[in-house]
Amino acid sequence: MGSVRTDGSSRFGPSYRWGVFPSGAFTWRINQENFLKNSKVISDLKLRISDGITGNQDGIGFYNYLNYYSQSGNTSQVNFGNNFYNFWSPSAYAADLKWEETETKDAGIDFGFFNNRITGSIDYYYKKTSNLLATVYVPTLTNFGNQLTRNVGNMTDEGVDLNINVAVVKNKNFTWDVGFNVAYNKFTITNLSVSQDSLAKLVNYAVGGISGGTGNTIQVHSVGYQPYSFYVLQQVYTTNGKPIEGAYVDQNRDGIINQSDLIHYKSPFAPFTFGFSTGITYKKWSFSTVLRASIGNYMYNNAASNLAVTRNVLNPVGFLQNSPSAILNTNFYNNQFFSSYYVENASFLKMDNLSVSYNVGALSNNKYRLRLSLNYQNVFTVTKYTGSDPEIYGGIDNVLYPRPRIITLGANLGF
Amino acid sequence: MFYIHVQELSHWVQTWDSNHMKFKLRNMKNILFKIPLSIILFTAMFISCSKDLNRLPANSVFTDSVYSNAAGYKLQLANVYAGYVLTGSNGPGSSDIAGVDAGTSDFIRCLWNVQELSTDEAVCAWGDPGVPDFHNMSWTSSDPILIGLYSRSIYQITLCNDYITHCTSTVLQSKGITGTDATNIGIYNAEARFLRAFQYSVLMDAFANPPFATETTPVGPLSFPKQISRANLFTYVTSELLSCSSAMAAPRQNEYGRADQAAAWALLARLYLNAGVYTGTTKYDSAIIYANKVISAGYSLHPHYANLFKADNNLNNPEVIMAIPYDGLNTQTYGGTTFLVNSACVNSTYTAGSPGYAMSSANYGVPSGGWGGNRATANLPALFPTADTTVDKRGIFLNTTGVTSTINSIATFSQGIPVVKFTNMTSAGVQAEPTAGGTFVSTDFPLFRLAEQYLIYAEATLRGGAGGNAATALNYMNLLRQRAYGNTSGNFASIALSDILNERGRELYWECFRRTDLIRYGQFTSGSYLWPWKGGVASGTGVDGHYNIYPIPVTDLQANSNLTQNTGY
Repeated sequence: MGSVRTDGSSRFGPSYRWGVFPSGAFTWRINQENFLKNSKVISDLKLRISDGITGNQDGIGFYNYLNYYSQSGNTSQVNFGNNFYNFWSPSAYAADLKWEETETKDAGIDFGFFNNRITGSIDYYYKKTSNLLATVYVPTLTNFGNQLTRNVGNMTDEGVDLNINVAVVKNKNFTWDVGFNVAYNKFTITNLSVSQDSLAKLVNYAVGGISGGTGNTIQVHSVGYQPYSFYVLQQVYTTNGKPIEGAYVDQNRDGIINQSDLIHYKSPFAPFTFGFSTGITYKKWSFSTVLRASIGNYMYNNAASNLAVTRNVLNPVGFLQNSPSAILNTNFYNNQFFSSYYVENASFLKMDNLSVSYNVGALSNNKYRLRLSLNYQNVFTVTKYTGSDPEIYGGIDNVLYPRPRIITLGANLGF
Repeated sequence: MFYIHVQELSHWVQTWDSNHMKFKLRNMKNILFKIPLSIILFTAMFISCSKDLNRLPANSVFTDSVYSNAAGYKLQLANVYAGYVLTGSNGPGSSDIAGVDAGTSDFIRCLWNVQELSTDEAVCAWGDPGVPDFHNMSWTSSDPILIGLYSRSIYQITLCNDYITHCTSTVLQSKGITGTDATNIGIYNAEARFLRAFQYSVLMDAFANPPFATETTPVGPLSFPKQISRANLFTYVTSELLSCSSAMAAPRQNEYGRADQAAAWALLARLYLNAGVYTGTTKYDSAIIYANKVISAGYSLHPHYANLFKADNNLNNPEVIMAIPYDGLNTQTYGGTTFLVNSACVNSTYTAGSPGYAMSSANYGVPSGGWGGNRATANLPALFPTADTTVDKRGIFLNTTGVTSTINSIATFSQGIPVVKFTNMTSAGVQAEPTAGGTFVSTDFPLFRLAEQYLIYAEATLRGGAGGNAATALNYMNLLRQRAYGNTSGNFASIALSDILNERGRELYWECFRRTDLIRYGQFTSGSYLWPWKGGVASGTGVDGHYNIYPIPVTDLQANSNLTQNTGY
């Protein structure tokens, strides 16, 4: 099966407006072939192969390709002589802005054994994104502004997904299902450049704005690294493991600590994620739970780097302020925003949900039906991360309050 | 941001959603049945959509209509000037520069921080990133204020470069603009060249080796401007000023707020005085020539020093050669004089007559403002006979109860003498534009004034420049002293070079000169002259010589690999 679609977007200039996005898929139902038709063991076996391109235009402004002028406001006039003038202000623009394209190749097998008591799938995918859209600094003197959204590079995303569901027990009074999945994923930026020009290469694009100060960023896109890699100064510790304020490794040994001593250090994306779910019903009882784990993801503890300093407690205005308890470990007086100390291992195991219910059934001659339930959300989290939640998208944690635990007791009465 | 899209490989069809002005994607479930329909739909959409995709932003215009007639050229000249007057075109919170706060992208605010906070003339109580680094002399290439100044100067240069391309005779002929209109546009063009040279001179002074492009580099397409050396930039800026000045309006003949020939000469005199720093070769002869041209162009000292920095300083001001005009109602910014006035006083509710009123922002015409940041180290008032206006009328300090000249903590505003030279009160003693909300200031910032030219003449003469006369130099110095003292009691009998540096301190303090002056005298980074908290030490300390030049901001180094960082950073 195949399809071709073409999308047009008013966000691109006339020459780049239309993108053509073909896709094709092939499926082979192996279990329907003669040699497997009568198998008692293999009840389902399917090979899937697909390849397709999708386009993306999210995250860019409506008219970023266009050099237009807007009139200045009445508090933004320029005074010549006795007159004030509302001038026309030009917009920064990238006339050659085009679709971001992602080609996804996927090969997978769906399987079922023993009359589908065991089902599952395994997939390998390889995604290649080209003309990535990102807002970046452009060389000064070349545009009406210092930042623009442009097509800046290529990225690959490669991974394996495995899903298995097993009906362990399946009879009238007792069922037990178990589901398990594991995924491996790896992003890599393979090319970054604001144009084909070789001068545009070898650049880091700062991303990941943080709280504290104006315009500070903690992450970077660099070729050969994961996107959103943390870009920090390597903290120096005392022999008993306390970070020393303002002491960093002088990577280039020039005697000063500055921008050129920043290093790529970890990424917010987890290479391995796991999921486990199970459900048991026994007569009128049922029980289910969901667990998830993520291994190898890191988080920048911005709440600590911004607020857990003496300077924040004894702020210049003159009254005392609260501070996260990380201050007890660092004893930092001033903010050390770029310390690798604040990039923490945020691997976790979470039980998201646990529920038990009892179906009382018919009451008073079938007039009513009653079901009792107990549902517990956010049961526990196992992590070494010291902030409030190891799972914040983007990898920059500014959250002071933990996720709530919710226990719901239910009585469901049907008439 | 990267947007990673996962889409199923099923068939989609687009529909135009006119309510939301965007495409909606709708999954088609029954593919087999609907394929014929989708082909029809698709074809129909294709035909109807291609025109609908020509969307244009509301209330906006394009280059051709902006530059369609002479009036349009005048408006766009205002846009070129707006580059250093305002931070953005849509109110004081807007900015042409991304990545920094709007106020941190203002020209005078950033220039003032760069030129004053790094010296004995000022410290700031605020802990905002980049601010403490100036007095500590520990700034880095990611300093937001350095990014602000660099980006702001270059933004105005970019506006100039673009404006100049619209002013060629070929372009004007093609639009049918002739006669007086074409003559006027010739003057506008010369002013754009002047502003470009001025901003390049700011970059040359602060960053030494900036990227360089002229009107031959089109604005819009991506390119990678090359760096220019400080010495070559000096040659470019001075020759450009000499060339454009001949096409500018005669001294004092242009509209207020616009540059004339005297502004170009005044800038030339300033640059020639510092030529030794920029190129290694002094040019005191030339400094005297151009200071003389300004001095003989008909300007005179304003009789009241304090009125040079009041809200009505645009009126009856014979001294100012060129100013950046602000207005509390119509020209609002969180930089400029709004920054200078508000950050030097505190917001309090003291009423007139009460002891605390002297410190109150209401006393300076900004009752809703008062940001409590900037004040002087003890070294600035020490230049004056007394730390007030009783002897030398230029000592406009807030030397009152509760204020100490000793600074134990930079973060405490009441330690250090506040400077209230700039005020939003008029010379009549009333708040300017009270309807503007009590924060935005109407005082104009003097970029060039006669007093500086007297000081340039005196210094260049004393340093051996040909064409200077020692008696005239002494006389110019004493003209400043007589205005300050109200009589001849403060007159110099003779002058030494150190007298001129100190006199510049007294006359021009807080006007964005100090760092350049200290560098010319070899006192900026060295241990030969110290001030409280210089280099981050209470008693002051010298720092490495590379701090005489600021680093190229990291944002541009990363975007343009043609650029090399200045030595030491």
